Amino acid sequence: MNNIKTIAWHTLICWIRNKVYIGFIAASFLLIAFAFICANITGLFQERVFVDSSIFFIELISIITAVFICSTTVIKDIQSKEIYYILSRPISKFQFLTGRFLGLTICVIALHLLITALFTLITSLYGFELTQKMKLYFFLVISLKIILVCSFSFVFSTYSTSFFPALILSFTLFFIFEFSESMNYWLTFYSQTAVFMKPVYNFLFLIMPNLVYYDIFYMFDINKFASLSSYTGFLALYTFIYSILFLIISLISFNKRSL
Amino acid sequence: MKKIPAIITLIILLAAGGLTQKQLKKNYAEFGVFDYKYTAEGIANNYIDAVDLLYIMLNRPRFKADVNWINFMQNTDDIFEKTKENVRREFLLKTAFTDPYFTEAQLFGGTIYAAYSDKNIQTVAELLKLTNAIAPNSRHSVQLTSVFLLTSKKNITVEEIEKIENELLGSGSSPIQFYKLFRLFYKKRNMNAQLWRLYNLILARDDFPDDFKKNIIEEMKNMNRPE
Repeated sequence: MNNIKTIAWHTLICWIRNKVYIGFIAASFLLIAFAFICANITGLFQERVFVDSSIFFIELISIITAVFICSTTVIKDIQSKEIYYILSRPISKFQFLTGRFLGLTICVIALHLLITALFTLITSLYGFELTQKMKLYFFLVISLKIILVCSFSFVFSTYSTSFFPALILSFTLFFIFEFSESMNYWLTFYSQTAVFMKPVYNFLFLIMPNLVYYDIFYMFDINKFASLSSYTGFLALYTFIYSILFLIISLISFNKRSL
Repeated sequence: MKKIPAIITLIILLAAGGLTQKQLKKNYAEFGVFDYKYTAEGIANNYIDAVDLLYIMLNRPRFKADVNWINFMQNTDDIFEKTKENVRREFLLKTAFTDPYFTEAQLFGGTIYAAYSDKNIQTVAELLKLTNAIAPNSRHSVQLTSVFLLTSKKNITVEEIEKIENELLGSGSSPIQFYKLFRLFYKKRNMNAQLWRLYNLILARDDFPDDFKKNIIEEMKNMNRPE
């Protein structure tokens, strides 16, 4: 357990000092400022435009950061030969991977917390009608999404031998999981789809992680939600199950790798 | 990690994930379900393009609708610029069909468009059809119907106009777009008494822009005061 904590802490410190990470923080501040400018030029619906744009940009930066750092971290360790030094110590591959994954997830959630704090500050200063509860749930739901995205991006880091394929595969999988709900609708709705294929599609979409459940704040009016606590609970369970699944796949893939 | 226990664990996790998803779907349905049938209608009528569809499929219709709305408002700066009429129509319909639940944009966009475009009837009729499908008998639906009648009904009577004016301006806190619509309507029909009354209502509002009020005062100076 101490080994996992040490590796997680080390991962977090390394990435916080990284110029790429600082670049992502700067980009997120600029995007929130851009959302504010867009809201001011819109004339009507300033609050809606600011909230929708900010939510979009916050998530965009968080997801790009998650995919980028999670899909490249183990590859970076192998290419820099740092991994041989770490694994020569009494640290198992399981401890190493779990520590790395935890550190990376905390790193991205810290970035997400920073931008959400800025967003909260601006909405409070300008008197937009977003309750603290809404902002909290928004933060929680997107954090859960970040954990899931980190977990499947991490798989490609343990599997791939170079950065570019790992990044491409991670983003491809992200888009597939984002598209899944709408693709399920189009595939099962249109009569051109063969009748026997519809149950197959339904089954595939049932077992595949579906990111639409995290996108409630992008689809509907944020102020209309009455009960979010039980939904967030189920979402947390859903995230936990699929994150463990992807971590197990990472471990299997990393074990098969010759170092 | 041994092979068979790993595979069994993965299968159990997939099954658990599927079961959780079923429950999550029920909870998700309580928030409302985004109906893609309006997207299909938008595609069939060429109102939305591939970029709009991409954002809809990525579950971000609100964001893209806001972007389309900003583009629409940017093109209403010079309201008498005829060359921008098609662009205004395009962005208004894109906004409506990208996020069909953005009924406020359908109302205010429809009002702006009806006021400043000559070929307005079919576009406002499309918006009205969509608003009625999403939120029938809602405040927005009733107000958009009023805008449509005002701009499309050829033989509209004075009583009907007054009823519509009461519907759209009666609250005393109506947005400026409604006043602008009536201003253009009364000017086109040379209804000076109604125009004078409208101008007094506008001047009584503290929250309207000063340059707009200055234009109104200038126009009133050049008008014959009705008896």
